[in-house]
Amino acid sequence: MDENAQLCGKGGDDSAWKHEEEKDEDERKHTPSPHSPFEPYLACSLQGADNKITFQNWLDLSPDALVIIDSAGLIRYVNRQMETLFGYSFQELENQQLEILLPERFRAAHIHHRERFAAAPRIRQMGVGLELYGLRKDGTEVPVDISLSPLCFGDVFSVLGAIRDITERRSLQESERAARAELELLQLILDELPISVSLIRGEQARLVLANRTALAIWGTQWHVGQPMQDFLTSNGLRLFSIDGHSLSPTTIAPLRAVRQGETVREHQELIQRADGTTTSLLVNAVALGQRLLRGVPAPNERSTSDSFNTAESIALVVHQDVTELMELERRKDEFIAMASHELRTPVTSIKTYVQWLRRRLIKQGDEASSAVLTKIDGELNGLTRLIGELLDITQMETGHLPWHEETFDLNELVREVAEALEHTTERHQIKREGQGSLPVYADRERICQVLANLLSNAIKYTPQGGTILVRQTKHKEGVTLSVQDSGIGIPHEKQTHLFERFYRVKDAEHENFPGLGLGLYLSAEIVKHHGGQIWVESEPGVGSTFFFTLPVRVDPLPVKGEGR
Amino acid sequence: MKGTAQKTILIIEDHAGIADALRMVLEEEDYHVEVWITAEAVYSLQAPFPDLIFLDILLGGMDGKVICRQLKGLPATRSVPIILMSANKQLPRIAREVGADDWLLKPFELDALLELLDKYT
Repeated sequence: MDENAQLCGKGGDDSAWKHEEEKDEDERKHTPSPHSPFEPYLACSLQGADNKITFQNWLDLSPDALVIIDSAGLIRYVNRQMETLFGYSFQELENQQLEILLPERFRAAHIHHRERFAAAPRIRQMGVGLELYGLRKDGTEVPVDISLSPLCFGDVFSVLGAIRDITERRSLQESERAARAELELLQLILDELPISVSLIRGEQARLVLANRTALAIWGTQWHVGQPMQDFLTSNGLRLFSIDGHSLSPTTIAPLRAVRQGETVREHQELIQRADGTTTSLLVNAVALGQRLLRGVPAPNERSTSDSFNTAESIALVVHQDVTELMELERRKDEFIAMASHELRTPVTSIKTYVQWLRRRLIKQGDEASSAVLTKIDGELNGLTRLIGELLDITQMETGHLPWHEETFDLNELVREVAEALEHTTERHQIKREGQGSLPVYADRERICQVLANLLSNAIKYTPQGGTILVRQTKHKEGVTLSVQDSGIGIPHEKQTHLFERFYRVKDAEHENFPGLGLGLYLSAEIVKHHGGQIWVESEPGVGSTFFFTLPVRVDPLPVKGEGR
Repeated sequence: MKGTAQKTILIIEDHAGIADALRMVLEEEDYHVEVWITAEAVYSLQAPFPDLIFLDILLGGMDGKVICRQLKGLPATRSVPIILMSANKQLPRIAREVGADDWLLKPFELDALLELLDKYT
């Protein structure tokens, strides 16, 4: 039978209705047994203008699987869809108990239901709210919807069952349910995060979604669809940078993310609420590019707006309340600053006592004792340097390191530092290259600190003694200064970490050299503050050369907006 | 170096240990030493004035920089040499700014101290 022709056929086209004449082998099989009481009814035809269609044809036309059972529950007819769905041929099913098509567990109850239906037959859905299953010939189950209708052929009572395979719908429902559960779980996770997470869209930075912590951070509800600036102004919220400058639309991280597509990380901000309370925030605004989001437009946004059909720039905004962290950090810094001051005071008196005593012993000719005191004095100098570094690092971290720039002669400073350090060693000579005056505009004390650090490192890491060469070269961009030693050198893989805070080269060679790992970090920070660069070239066993540059500057540094 | 009459040095330093160590060094050098651990009395300073003042800039309650400026602003005390003391690395600049004659960075070397004594007494 040409099913397509049947479905698509138009009246008047005789060829579409040829099945009567073309009854093939298959067609004959799909006919009730000659003795069936249904046979005449199925064969009865509906008369059209030029063609006729039998009731059986009608049944076969249905997209649903159809089954007719008699009052005894025996299958008397199934259509082709039924055969396809259950995998049985009509011959196999004819006169079988209907329950053959049910999973074992439903069979007993079904007989009972069937009898009840026969007692009060009416058209209805079967098992509303229940999940119904059919059993295929191959033993697999198929989820189905079933509609029942009483059918009377003369005085023969029967029931027509329409069965629809809902495998696809069921699986869609299931995946929808799973997706919903997943979404709920995600929202739950979002809400439980101790950081504020929000998603914003478009030029206006309208809110798409936010978690519960967002409410806590802002102290007020940012409504979905509300533009960020509108939200801020209507709630009297103000944002400041860490150095107290009011943030403008061009500097607010989330706005930068949606407008310039710029991802802003770890931006420190301060939020001030209408009631004057403040919170220190660490902001991450991640630009997620142009995306199409489903959603409801904001009330004041044209509903016909293209914005819901065209992609908008989306940004993920994470606010972290760092007020407590900052307070802890501040207290730690305060403590270190105080501790280093308190430590320096007794070192000063100890050093003075030691030197007094040493002078006296020298006068008395007690060389052995005075030599010990010289050593103590040297140790005290080391201690003083460490305390100073500790204080510097704290002030540098908090941005409180005072800078005092002036024009001075770098060559003169190099000479001073070199001479001072040469006094501390008997095995090293410091040679200077480059003469004449070399005026630079910088913080003299800090550059002095860098030089002293590089030179004392050169001395320290050249234990066998030798010449340390200091070279100054002037060029168009500024000056480059280098300190070259012939010491133990630094392994290549460690060189990049040298200027990191607290970094210390850890190997057998370096084990015997104490320190906090701050000197080079501080030097690098000082050089960077001046706009210069610092680097090292080193070969283990051959020696190291440290370089730093100071760019030409005549005017004070413009005030830096943010960061260091 | 030292004159015939014993010279007087005033130490204004709120840390007793440092003041004491300084006093030992100075007395060893045959100076007459006076120690003030607060600076309140500075405004009633009368002649004969000390020959040299060691002034700490971080004094409890009072600022050594202010005291220095004021002493240098008064005709009577203008000529008394003042040496500013501090652990602050910016001391040379501060000393210049407040009109001190010289500075001594803590912790100091005895040689540096003796040089200053030579220079100002």
